[in-house]
Amino acid sequence: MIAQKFSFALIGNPNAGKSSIFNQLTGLRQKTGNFPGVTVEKKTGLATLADYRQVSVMDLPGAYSLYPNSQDERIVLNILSNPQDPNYPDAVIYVADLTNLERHLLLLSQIKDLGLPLILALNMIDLAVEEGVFFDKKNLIKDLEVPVVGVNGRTGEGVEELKEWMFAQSIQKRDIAAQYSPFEKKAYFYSPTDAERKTIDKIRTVLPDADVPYRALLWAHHYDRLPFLTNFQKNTIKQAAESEKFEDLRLQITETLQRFDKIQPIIRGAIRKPKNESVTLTDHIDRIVTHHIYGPLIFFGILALIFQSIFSWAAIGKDAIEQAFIGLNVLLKNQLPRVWITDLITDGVLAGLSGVLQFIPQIAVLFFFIGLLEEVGYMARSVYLFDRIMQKFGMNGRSIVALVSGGACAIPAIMSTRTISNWKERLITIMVTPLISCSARIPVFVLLVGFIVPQKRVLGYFSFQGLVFGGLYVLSAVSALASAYVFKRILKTNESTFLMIELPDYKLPHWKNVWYNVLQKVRSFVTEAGKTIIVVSIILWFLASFGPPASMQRTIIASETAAKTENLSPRQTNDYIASKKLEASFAGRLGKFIEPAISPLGFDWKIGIALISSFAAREVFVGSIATIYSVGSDPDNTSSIQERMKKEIRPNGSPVYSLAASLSLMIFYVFALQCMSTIAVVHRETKSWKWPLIQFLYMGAMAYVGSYLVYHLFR
Amino acid sequence: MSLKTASDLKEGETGMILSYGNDRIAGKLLSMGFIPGKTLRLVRKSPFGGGLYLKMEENVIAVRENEASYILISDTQV
Repeated sequence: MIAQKFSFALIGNPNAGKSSIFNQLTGLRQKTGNFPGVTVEKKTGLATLADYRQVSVMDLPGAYSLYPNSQDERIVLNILSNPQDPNYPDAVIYVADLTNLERHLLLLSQIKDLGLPLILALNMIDLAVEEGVFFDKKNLIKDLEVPVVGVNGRTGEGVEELKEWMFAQSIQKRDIAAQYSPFEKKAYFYSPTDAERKTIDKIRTVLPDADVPYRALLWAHHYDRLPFLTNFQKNTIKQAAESEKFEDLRLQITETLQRFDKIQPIIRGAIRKPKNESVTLTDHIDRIVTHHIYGPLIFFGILALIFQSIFSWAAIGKDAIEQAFIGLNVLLKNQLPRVWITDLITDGVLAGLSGVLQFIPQIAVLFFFIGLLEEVGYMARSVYLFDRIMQKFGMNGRSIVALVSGGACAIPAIMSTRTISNWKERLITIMVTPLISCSARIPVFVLLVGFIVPQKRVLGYFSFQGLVFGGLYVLSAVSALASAYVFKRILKTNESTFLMIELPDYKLPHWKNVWYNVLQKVRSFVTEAGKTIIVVSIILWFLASFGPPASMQRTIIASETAAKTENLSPRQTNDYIASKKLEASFAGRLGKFIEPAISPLGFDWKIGIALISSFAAREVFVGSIATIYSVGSDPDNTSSIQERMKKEIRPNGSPVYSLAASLSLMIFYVFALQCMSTIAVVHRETKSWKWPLIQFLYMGAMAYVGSYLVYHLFR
Repeated sequence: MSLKTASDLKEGETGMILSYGNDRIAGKLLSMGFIPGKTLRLVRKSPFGGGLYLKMEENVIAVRENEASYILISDTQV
């Protein structure tokens, strides 16, 4: 067996510039995944050092200390406090910002006490020197007893030196038994209280991995939520802690303060800053960007730009992909023999693939903007601006970005909620985002609004149809907020919600980081949600193309004869047969089966078929209706469908698409979660089927009740 | 010198951190470098209320008003 590669973990405070250094070290040789059980992104890559020696590098989420306040920080703790963890690194590259070193050294001191080999990579030295900061590297190295390298994530300056240090670390023989040296014996940053020492000693006697005293101390603090400890171990630690009256939070504060007591003289010896508090560029920018009038205006301006780019610019890409697939579909259908396997490839697999790939432009565009805003430091400002309002609805300032981009497409919007660290706030945002009217509903609304709303002007200027259209959007936004409010009341959490967010200095974006981020998001959507979408697409294809064989056969023969006696043209014959086949298929049977359930909404079984098939994506509704009414291949589609819909009557002679029924159908599409891709993405983001199921049901219930009310109100 | 909390500050005022009235908030803010002895400035309040924009040396954070009410400060106004 080949020996495991030497592994480095990149650790540092949020906004320390880890990603840039990660990208500099690994280039595009990186993989993204998730840490087990959570949706915190895990990025790993390979770096080549001298002698072609390859080492693995893992970018851990940003953390302030080993006393976690967020899911991100918890992951860092879980990995670093468990030497058995597959992600436990052989050494740590600690990334810190020179202009703010005091704070950054807290976590470094904790990692050092864990006995992990360290390299300190100091980012932004150039910037600090420009600001007039005097920096004595030799002193810092002497005091910290850690190699220090100045790096520039932007230009790559210093990365070669960092690699030399990594090389040196990687060939060093590891101190396998990081022998137990009690706190008295070694120069640790922290010397614990008596209660802590006694607790540690008790833990050590029963737990073999507690050989590093600070690790044992961390266990004493966090045992309850450390996933790798067995119940027996947890109980042992609990007893030890209780018998020593171990006061978790108090001791944490004592420890932190003591660490800063040690850090402050080190900083004084290595760094001298100009005395007066200077007014920085960030101060100037924030005077406008977080201004109580300009702030929100700028924010909504940015949102409008994002919305516009997803809605119209990315839509060009989306349409191009769709058209390409339609073309490919037709080509294959003409070239391949007309057997079921051809249909499986074209209408099942290709349709599913198209359903996956057509979202790429929108995902790429949204994450380009989000990545850019995150890079320059703007995102935290939006949280600050809107925290209060969003809090009322159980969400976070960042939720606004998801909700607004949900107006273009829920898929990238839901993926964007990853930046929300509070689970409850994130979940609520995910749950209500699909209520926001997305672009896929537009074809359905166009068809129905055009059908029921007369083309007249209101007040001489506003198009009546446009107003109704706008009303649908308002309805969707209001219902999303209302649902969020309800979820806020229902969902219980033991996670307390905090704002306490750092507003980092503004800086120019590293374009590399932005592009890598876009690439990763697209990749993870295609590989993870993509699978579900293709499977569902194949199932829907099967339902719409197959029925009980005998009755399908009969239907085809009967409709062929009927077409002959009616003297239909070849195209009309094809449309007619397709319509009859759909009626006889499983989907058709399903439509008839659910008719009793949907007739109170004013829908007949034909609409039922369209509802079922448009589960693939809402816009499929139009196509299905066209097939059912055998106007499938009519070039002038929308208006011919509308003509045909007018003629459709019930057995009693009244029109199927009465005003009430059409309104009801429209309401149904406002609320119902008719989108398998959303379900796949929610499944992926929440790591469970529970939440997509709840979402499907609650939105379905809203759709049903809403449609029922509207139908009976207008009948 | 009078005792007050960061939520009592008016825009532009400063105060020196003395201690914290809540251990959880203390834990989080200490780890972000907001340690006793540092001088804090309330730069502005958020447009829709509830949020405070605080600056300590090069560190800028946003906190909610109730969170700030646990940061005990001494008046350093001259």
